[in-house]
Amino acid sequence: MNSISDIFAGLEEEDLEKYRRIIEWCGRRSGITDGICGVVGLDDLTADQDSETVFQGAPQDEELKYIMAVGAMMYTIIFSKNMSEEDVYPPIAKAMNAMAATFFQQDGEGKVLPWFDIFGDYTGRP
Amino acid sequence: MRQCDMEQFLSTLCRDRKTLEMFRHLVNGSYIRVVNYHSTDPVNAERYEAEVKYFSENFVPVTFRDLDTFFETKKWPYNKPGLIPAIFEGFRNQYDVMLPILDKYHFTGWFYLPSFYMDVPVEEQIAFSDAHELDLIDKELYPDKRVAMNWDEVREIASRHEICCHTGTHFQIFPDTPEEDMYREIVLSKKKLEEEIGREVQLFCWLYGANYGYNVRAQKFLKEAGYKYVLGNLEIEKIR
Repeated sequence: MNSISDIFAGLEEEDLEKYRRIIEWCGRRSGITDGICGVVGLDDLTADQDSETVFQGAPQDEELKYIMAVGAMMYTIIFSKNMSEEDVYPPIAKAMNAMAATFFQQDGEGKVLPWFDIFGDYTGRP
Repeated sequence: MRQCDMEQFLSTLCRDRKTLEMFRHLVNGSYIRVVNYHSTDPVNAERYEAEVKYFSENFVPVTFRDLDTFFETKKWPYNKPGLIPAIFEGFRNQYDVMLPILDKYHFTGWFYLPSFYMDVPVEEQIAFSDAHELDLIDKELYPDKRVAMNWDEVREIASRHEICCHTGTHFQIFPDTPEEDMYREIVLSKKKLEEEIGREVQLFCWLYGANYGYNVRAQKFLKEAGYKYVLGNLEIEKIR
């Protein structure tokens, strides 16, 4: 399993063009008729200040969560550079949605699958 | 070609509190997957079924009990990750299209309902939907013009899926919203849902997302109503 150090080391080779293509696809989705995948954080506001904040998720997510974290920041970088006055949501909100579509699931062989690889590009909209 | 360096990465990470919090959630494993649905017309039923079928093969459904356990123990109790199909707005097409699909694959849906929508007279429902940003695609789908679920349908859904409150009239609450409006949309909306389905409603979902601290004035109403969870765009917050 790659450690987060390995993932950071791969940053220098990261091609942001991949992320831009997925952003374009996300932009073609309909928020009304399409299922829009996302990831929401879990925040316990009743917990003591010193309480544990690390959760143990499903085994599949042990490595994937680091990839998702790095991916979310890569998308935030892109969205931050392209903000417009009409943007209601901060870059991280859009980034989380794009990240969720990119790293939707990891199969049994460790391959990370984006949403549209699984379900196809049904947007087909201009 | 080098596109991003560590300095850029770290400065992005720290650009604002929310960005750092979301990075922390991901690295710490304190997150859950959702897929948000709105108007689910029959024309797309085949695609929705393919999605839910895939969910049932690769993820596990989530109930409030699972969420409670995850928060309390900080250990996901299943081998596969959880995924919540979140179905917003209380449209009749969700009962007709999504409910049978979810039931077929035994996958729990979370239905986010504006509590007063179901009581809007049928002849006024399309106009109400237009006026309250309840976005329908095919307004002619039902010859009788009933586009919202009725309470019998809601009760049937509640018998095997999760019901959440999405205000009363699909109302966007701002920090300066009058208190009477906040009380109606946060407190009375929960009471209405609970009276109709006969069980506690644990989660309140803002329109367009916000975090608990965004609207300090609303906090007293969320507490008065007795919600356990609040859902914004980026987080489910446990408040009780």
